[in-house]
Amino acid sequence: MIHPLRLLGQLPFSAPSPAGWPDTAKDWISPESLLRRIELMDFLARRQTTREDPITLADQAFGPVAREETLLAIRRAPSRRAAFSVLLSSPEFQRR
Amino acid sequence: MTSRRGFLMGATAAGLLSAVALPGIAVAAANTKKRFVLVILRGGMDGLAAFPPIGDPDYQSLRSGLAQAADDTIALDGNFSMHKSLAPLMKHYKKRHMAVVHAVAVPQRTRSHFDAQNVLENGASKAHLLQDGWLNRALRVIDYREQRLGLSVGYSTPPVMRGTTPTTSWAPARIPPSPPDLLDTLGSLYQPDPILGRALNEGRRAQEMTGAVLGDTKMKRGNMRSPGRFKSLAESAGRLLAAEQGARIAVIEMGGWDTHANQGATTGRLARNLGLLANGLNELSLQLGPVWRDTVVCVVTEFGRTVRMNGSKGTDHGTAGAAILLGGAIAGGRVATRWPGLAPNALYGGRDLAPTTDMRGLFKTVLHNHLNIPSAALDQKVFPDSKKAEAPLGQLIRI
Repeated sequence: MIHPLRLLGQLPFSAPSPAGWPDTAKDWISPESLLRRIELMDFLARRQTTREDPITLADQAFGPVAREETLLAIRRAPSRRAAFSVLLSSPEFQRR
Repeated sequence: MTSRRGFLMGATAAGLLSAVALPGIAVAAANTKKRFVLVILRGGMDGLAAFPPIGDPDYQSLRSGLAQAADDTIALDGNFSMHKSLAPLMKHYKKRHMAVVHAVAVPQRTRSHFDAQNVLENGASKAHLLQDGWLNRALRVIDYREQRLGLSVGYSTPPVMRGTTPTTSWAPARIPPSPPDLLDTLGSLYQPDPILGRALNEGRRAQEMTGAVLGDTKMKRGNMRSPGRFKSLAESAGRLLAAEQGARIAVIEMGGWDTHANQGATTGRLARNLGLLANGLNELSLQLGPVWRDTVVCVVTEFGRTVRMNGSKGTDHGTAGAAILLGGAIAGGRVATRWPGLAPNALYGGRDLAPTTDMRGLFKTVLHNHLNIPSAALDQKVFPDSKKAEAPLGQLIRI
């Protein structure tokens, strides 16, 4: 678990100041860290074990927040893995 | 109902924990039995602490505050000792499979980590004269062609291994880069979101740039150099090098040597680091098993440290330091040095151990005697402008 947390840039107990980790969106999403985050989500998608259909899962996880574009991208994904990858990295999943 | 959290937990348990096995690195059969491992200690390892010149009449007084009592060290010969944290290496020294090269330095006098590491790795007489690394040029001369026998262990290829000869790299639990079509899809999904959209565009642009310059993604390095990681990197390097189809020449980095404050003498921060180094090197020898007898490990750093203690109980960037040669192919059991002495008027700039051996001379000795690279090629291609570089005294490689 430690390794992915380090990749995501916020390793526990290593905050840059006594105030802890910053909590504004811009501090959470830098160009580098976003790419790392997408890589990690893609990695998780490859290892997922659920039998659920990705679209069902998106409906359950996002509910009314789900955008049509995201559902379309999941449906059009070339593989099950790619579908989960899009789901995990979608704006709905990453930013709410 | 599957929650976002539940989904992540399941996928994580199934995946991440099993991601540490050795991957299959594609390499062709090697045409040599010889192994060579370069270990770069980044930050400036204090050679006077690792191998204190106990017999030097000025040692105790000039090192006041950090000097080690002779009884607290392991004697190597009448003049030099080894820090007791390096005790795990003593069995190699006794078998004459270890040698220490003392008062060795890169050819350029600089107190900048950046410049000193650059010249240590590019093999030129000055920093930034050459773009590629000497180990990469050596691989080209050996003419291993596409066999990819050069291996970098860690998240990036160190400059010493960079260049036009193809090499391979390995890092534990590396997460592979995302496929471009996934990034395209996400790019259009992120478009309406000002933060995500811009971050992804900038990130992809930056990745292309670093990929073009460094041939690798830049973000993931750094942590791999932390001292605590060295043993596991050394273990992996050993396993990969021991494999019949594996690499033959590897480079590993270890950080944590820039001991400006509270470096300690017999115990403390530096002592801990030396212990981690010794354990890692032993792990490497263990994993190499039967091929250890055909192995040379060369442990170097960009510079030594000041002789005197500074105001924060540490030492500052110095000049000459120590290098370690280890392996069954070493003709060792001695400290190879033209000792310049620690008398105040013998110090470089009045504060550092003066260099009497050129780092390039050390590397050339190893490459020539161990890997059979002709001297002419070493002088012309691998270390241009190094004909006069002072080599270490005596024979160091078992021939």
